[in-house]
Amino acid sequence: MRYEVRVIGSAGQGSILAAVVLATAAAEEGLWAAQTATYGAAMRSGVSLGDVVISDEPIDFPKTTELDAVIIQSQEAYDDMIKGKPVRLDPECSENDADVLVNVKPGALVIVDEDLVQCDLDCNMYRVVSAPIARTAAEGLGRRQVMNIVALGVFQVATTLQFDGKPLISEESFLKAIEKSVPKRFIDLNKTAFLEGVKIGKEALQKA
Amino acid sequence: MAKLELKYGNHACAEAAVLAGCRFYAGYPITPSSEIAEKMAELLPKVGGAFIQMEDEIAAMGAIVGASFAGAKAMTATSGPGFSLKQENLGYAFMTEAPCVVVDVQRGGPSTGLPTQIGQQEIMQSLWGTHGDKLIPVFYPGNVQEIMVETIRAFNWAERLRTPVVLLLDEVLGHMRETVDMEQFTPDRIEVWNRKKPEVPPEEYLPYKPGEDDVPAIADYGTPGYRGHATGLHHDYTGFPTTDPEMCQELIERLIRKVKRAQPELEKNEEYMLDDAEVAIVAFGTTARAARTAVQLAREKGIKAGLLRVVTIWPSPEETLNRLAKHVKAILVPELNMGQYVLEVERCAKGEAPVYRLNRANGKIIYPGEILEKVEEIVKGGK
Repeated sequence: MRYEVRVIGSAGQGSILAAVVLATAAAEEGLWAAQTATYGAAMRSGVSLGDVVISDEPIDFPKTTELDAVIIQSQEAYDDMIKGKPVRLDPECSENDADVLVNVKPGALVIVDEDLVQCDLDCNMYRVVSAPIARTAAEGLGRRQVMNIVALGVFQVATTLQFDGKPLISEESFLKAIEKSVPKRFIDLNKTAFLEGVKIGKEALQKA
Repeated sequence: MAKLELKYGNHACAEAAVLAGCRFYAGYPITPSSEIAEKMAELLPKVGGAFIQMEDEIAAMGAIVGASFAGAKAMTATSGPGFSLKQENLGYAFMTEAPCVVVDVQRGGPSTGLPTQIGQQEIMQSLWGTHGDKLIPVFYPGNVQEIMVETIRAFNWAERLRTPVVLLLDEVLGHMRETVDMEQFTPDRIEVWNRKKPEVPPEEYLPYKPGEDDVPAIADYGTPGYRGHATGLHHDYTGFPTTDPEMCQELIERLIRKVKRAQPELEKNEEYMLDDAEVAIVAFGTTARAARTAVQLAREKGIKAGLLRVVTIWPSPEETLNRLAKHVKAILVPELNMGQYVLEVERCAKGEAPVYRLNRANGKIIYPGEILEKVEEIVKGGK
C-alpha cells in the first residue's frame, strides 16, 4: 500500500504543519511515512504545500507522483492545482523552478473548504468532500489559524470512503500526533479543532 | 516490533552523532545543513558536550581538529560553499590523523549555486577536494533511518582509523521528515568504537608510530606525560617535520594503506533485483530511491533491471562494480551532477559493459519515470 497526500494552501495557512502532523499520525499508527516540502515555506504570499507518502512498508521514492488525496485550503491553491501548471511556491522562483506537477489519481479524495474554494471538479472522477473548514475554525473555535488541523479531521473521516468504511489513520493517532507536533499551550485547541473537523467531516459525508 | 518515529533528516544526523559519542560541534550555518547545528546546540549541552558557532567554516573545521586532538569526538556540518572552505583543514586532519566527521548536505553548485535545492555535485570533491594524495572514507545514506546508521558508522571509522570521514547527505534527505525505527538505536543495539590509547610508557611514546593496523595510538593532548606534536608537514614517528625521502614515502603510503586495507569492511552497498538483471542502475542518496522505484516499474514491463545502491562512495566498491559489469549487459548511472561517479564506474567496469549516464544539475530531483525511460532506451539499443 502506498498512499500519497498533498496539503496545499496559501501562505500562512499551515499546510506544511498539517503535513507534518499527518506524517506523525501515520507513524503513531505504525505506518511508514515520508514528508517533504519545497524548502522555503511561503509566509506572506504565494502557494505553499506539504506532501506526505504513507506506506505499510519502508518507502522507496519519498516524493509524491500520484496523489490519493489532496487537501485544498484556498482558491489560489485550487487554481494552481487545476490549471495543471507547476505550483509556484516562492515569489522569487519562476514557474520553471517549482516542482513538477504530480497527478491526482482518479477516485482520489479532494477535500476543499466550502466557503473559500469554488470547486467545479467532476464528482464522478474524484471523491470531492466540501466542508466549512475555515468557518468552523474561526467561528466555532475563535481561531482561524487552526483551519489546517480542522482540515485534517475532515481528511481522517473522509479516508473511510477509500478503505471500506475504515479510516486510514485512527483519531487516537492524530490526537497523539498533535501532542507531539504543536507547542504545549496550543495542544488542547488543536485537539478540539481536529475533533470539530471529524464532526463536520461526518456531516459532509452524509450530505455527499 | 518496530517503534516508528517521525524524524527530520538533519536532526536525525545530530541525534545519531550524540549517540555515537560526539561531544564537540563547531560550525557555521549554511542551508541546507543549518538544522544539524541547531539540533547539536540543543543536544550537546545536555550531555556535557560543547557547541560553538565559529566565525566561518574554515575556523569551524580547525576547531573540530583541535577538539579531536584533545580527545573529543567532533563533528561539523556544512554545504557546498562551506565544504570548499573546509578543504584545507580537512587535508590537515588527514595528515595529522585527527578523527572527525564532516557532514556535507549537498545543494546545487558550483559556487553559491542553488542554496535551497538538491545536488549531488560533491561526489568527487569529497575525496579530491583537498590537495595531495589521500584516501578518506565517504558515506552517503539513502533515507532518514540510514542517516542515523551512517552517522554512527562515520564516527566509528573515524576513531578506528584515525581519519576524517565525510558524510554526504543531500537537500532532500536533510529536509525530509521520515519514519525511523528507533528500536534499532537503543544503547544496547548500537555499536560504538573508540580510538586506541598508547600502550607504552611516556618515555617510549612515539605518537606517530603506527600499530600493525597502520594506525598510530596517539595520546589525547593533555594526557600527563605523553607529549605530542602535530604538523601538516611530512613528519616522522615523533610528529616533528622531516624531509627524509624514505620516511615521507612511507608516511603517505601508510596513510592511504590504512584506509585501503579496511576497504572490505568499509564497503557497503545495497543490491536490489540484481540476480538476473540485464540493466544495472548504480546510484546513491535520493537518486537511488527513484532508481529503486524505476527498477520496479521496469520489471512490471518485463525489463530485467536491478539496482546497486552505493553507500560507501569512497573507497569505491571496485571489485563489486567490476563483477557487476561482467554480469549485466549495460550499466546506467543517474546522478544529480554532470557526470561524476560515472567516471569511477567506467574505470571499474573496465569495458566489460557499456556505461550510460543520466545527469541533471538544475536543483531538481530525477523522477522514477525518467530513469525508466532511459532504461527502456538502453534496452531498445539506443544510446
